Amino acid sequence: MKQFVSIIIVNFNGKHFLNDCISSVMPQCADRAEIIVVDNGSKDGSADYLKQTFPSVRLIESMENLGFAGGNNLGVNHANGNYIVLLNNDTKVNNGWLDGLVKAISDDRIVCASSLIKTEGIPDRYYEKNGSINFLGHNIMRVFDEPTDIFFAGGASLIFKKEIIGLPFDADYFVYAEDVYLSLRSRFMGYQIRHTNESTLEHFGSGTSKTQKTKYLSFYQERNRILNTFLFFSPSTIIKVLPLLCINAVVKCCASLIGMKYSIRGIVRAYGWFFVHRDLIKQKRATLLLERKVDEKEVIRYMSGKLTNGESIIGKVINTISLAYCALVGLKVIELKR
Amino acid sequence: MKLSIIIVNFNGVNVTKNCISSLYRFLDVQESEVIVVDNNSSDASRTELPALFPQIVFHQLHENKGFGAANNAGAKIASGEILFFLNNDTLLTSEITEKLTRILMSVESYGIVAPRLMNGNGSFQLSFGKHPTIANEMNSRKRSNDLAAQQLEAPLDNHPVQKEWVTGAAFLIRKMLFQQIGGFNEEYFMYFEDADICKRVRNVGYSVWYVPEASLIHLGGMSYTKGNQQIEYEYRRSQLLFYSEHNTFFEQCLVRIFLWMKYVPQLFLQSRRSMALKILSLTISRS
Repeated sequence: MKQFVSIIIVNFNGKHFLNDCISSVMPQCADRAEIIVVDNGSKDGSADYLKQTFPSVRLIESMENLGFAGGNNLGVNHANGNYIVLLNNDTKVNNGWLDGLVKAISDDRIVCASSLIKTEGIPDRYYEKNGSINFLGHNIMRVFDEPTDIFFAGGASLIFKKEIIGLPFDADYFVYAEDVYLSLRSRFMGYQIRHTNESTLEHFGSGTSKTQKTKYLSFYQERNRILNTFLFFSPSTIIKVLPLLCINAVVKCCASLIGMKYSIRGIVRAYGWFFVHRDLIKQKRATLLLERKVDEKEVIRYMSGKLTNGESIIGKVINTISLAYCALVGLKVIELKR
Repeated sequence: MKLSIIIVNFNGVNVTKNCISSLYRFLDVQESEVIVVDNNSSDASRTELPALFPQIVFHQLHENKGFGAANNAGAKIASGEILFFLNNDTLLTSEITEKLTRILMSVESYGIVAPRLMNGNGSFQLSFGKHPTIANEMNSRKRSNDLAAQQLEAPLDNHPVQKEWVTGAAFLIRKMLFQQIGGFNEEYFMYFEDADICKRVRNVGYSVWYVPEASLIHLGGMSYTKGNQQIEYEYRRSQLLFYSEHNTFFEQCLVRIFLWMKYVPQLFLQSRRSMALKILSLTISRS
């Protein structure tokens, strides 16, 4: 049986991206998919432009900016399909993009799959192997040997099964790392994530977030990466990870003080958030526990124990120390399996 | 037929369309009917809605007498033994009517059951509370701007919980009971009519239940309209009415002291003077 697909595109002041994105998606839809654009209260006239140019697209206007997480949830709430595809607005999909995604989750054990995303400026060799994440929520590149293996499906273009996942995200994430949250949830529910090279697209990269202040972005990025660890893993694992977290906090603060891409206020606020919202974290943990099916070991064995992607001598030393630490405390990450 | 779903529409043709089509995705059409009461809308509602959904019962009112009055009009023409009052800015995302009906009918003394409400972005929406008294209202007011604190109220398991009050955005009630207590009190225009009906249901020996297992989306619940003086006046009018009907003399004095403290200083603000005056005169004229 062919499943109906709802393709959800969240837009925030991205009018100039919409034409490329939607006109590349539309020919693949026919009668088996609908396009839903959630407009997060854009001020650039995106909504009017859509109504005029693409009247067949379902437009859902939110008065306020719900973020990437909340916006996608709103779209899913309006969706008619059993399969949901999430797509960034600053993309252009290639032929076979939708077919590839749908095919990738035909197996019952797989609830979520991601496409091959080509981002401007990233060298080709990074696409040869898929990456994983470490306990600090950083992407670690070139981890898996199998081209269909991946740790998490990137939010720029992914597909999931609505009847199993329900709403994909926690709206409190707002933006960043919510895709890691979705994949962690799926893995703890006992399902697998897949990657498919049959579905490809171009990504112009941070089209929306470029316009936002680094203060907010640093906050959400740092908080959400670590929140994932705090929400999903057992207290004993969190204690084991704590030294790495402390090193991470010190390094980030130093980096922001010498003016490197982070904002010190955002970083400090992110760590402060965990102290203020202890009860909320407990509540969220309890909710997630209800749907958990597998032991965390099953998830950790796909995670990376490296700390950086650096291939310089310093990077290698740091990663070796970090892997030795993981081996010592018994975090059986993917590198230690080999 | 068992269930009558009653939706009040006022100038919300697009929102109502989404609501009805989400309903029909999950509804058992043999066992239920959808009644849309149009509160004298000036938009395309009266032509578009019946044309788009020929299966609904469309009831046109020629004067807007408020939410409670429109719901009462819908209840009058309902043929089901259970009434489901549903705001038009809601969306069903799963099959819940059967579940809620079953729970309502499972125990003789259950009067009202309400589903869990969620915001459009998927977060928990606080839609129940204690019977409004000054202390309880202050307590919930403190939380009204703190979404994190509201989320902590979300029940963690799926068991129905007994509540003193659930929101009027979505709830089911036995029709016999609804008729017995005389329906919504039409004097309330848009606030406190849900707390009022819950209180009157409990007064005749029935109980009010919140069912976390059944959830639906309530889009409007996110924004609290600030700054609209007409709405603020209606809120205070309903509040005074509610206190005079359901609360002790002591509470009625307290709410007046509170309102005087709040609105006497506002007499000195040019922009808010006339509204403050109207509210203060209410505190004296209503016994």
